[in-house]
Amino acid sequence: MTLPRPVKTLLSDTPRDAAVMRTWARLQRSRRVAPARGSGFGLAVAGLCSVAAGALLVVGWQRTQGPTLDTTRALAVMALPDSAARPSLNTLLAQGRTAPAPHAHLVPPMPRPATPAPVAEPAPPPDPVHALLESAAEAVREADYPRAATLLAEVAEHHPEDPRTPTALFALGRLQAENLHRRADAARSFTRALELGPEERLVVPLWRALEEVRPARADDGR
Amino acid sequence: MPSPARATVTRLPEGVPTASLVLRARARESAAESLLYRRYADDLISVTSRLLRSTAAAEDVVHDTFLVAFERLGQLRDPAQFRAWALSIAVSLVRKRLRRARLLQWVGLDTLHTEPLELQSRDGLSVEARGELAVLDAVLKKLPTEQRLAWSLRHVEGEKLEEVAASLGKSLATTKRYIAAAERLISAHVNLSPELP
Repeated sequence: MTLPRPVKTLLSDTPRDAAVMRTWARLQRSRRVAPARGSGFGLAVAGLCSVAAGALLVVGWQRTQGPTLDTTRALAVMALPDSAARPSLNTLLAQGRTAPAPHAHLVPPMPRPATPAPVAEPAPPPDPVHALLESAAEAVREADYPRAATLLAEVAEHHPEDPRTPTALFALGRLQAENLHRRADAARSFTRALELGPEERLVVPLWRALEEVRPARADDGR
Repeated sequence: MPSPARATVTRLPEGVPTASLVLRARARESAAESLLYRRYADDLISVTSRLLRSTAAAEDVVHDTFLVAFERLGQLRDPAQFRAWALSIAVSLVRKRLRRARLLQWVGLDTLHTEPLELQSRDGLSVEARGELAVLDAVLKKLPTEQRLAWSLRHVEGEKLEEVAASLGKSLATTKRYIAAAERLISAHVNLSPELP
């Protein structure tokens, strides 16, 4: 038997869609964590080390002042049951609504006893994503699936940077696949959710959902 | 909080020339970055998974390749040559992995689960062809890393000699020497069709 050149003509050439999408989701997350590494890489590393040392000092000081880290949520995520691999629509919508808005991510500062408390709390900034997710959940409860889909699509279109958007897209994909029977649209929603870099625990369920709807993509003619 | 860059991800037509995509990606336009990735990721994952014999390791390499590529797009002299440039980044990462794996194997530690060439073959391939692929795989593993990479890029992937040289960061003469040295050992064990023109 003589092997032809190039040898790859004998090797499997199936598209590696899953690997491509997984890597893209990972790349998005990595770039969010480490946005820029310019030519002064050594300088940046030195700077990062200084920042890390400073952060350790701050964390150490905060620990002596009392607990501020939200470990309950982290433990809850770690303790997710197997059923979480395929969360229900209601679970997804509830997760989206209860997830903190981007402006609520910071740990509130320690109270300073010397300064007087303000007379009135400033009004929190409006949270349109929360409002849209509330309305979408209401529409699902009323079995008004087209309206729910429109509201979730609005979240994805106008708030792509919001950390709740991948969850909203997951819910949208589930609605499209299971209630609206638009599997091609569902595949696009799941793909977009993966492109946006969802939370780690959503990646596998999203991939499973995408695999479930993908074979029918050619059949439904969309 | 609308984000025009993100919102246009799906609006860029697939036919945009690579050079234009690179120029737009240099301006941190995420739509262009996304399209560049979609255009070349599958190819790079395929090439690196054959070089490393592992899809998981190839995913790591391609992740790091695009991370570096998007950061250093400004250093790419000819934007139309994005594929060759990205391949050279990927090959340099593959080289590091192969050397590390070889070192760890030498001290008795197998690093990663690998899929030999015969297990990556097309469905329906004859037993004889699979056997030849297995022998080729074994011989390639014995070669020095540079020779293995040069020969694989040229005769497994079918890359042009100039592209192999650019990917390895070596001169054309050195690349030819690597390939010739590898060819001598491989042809002693495996039946191969005549060399590519």
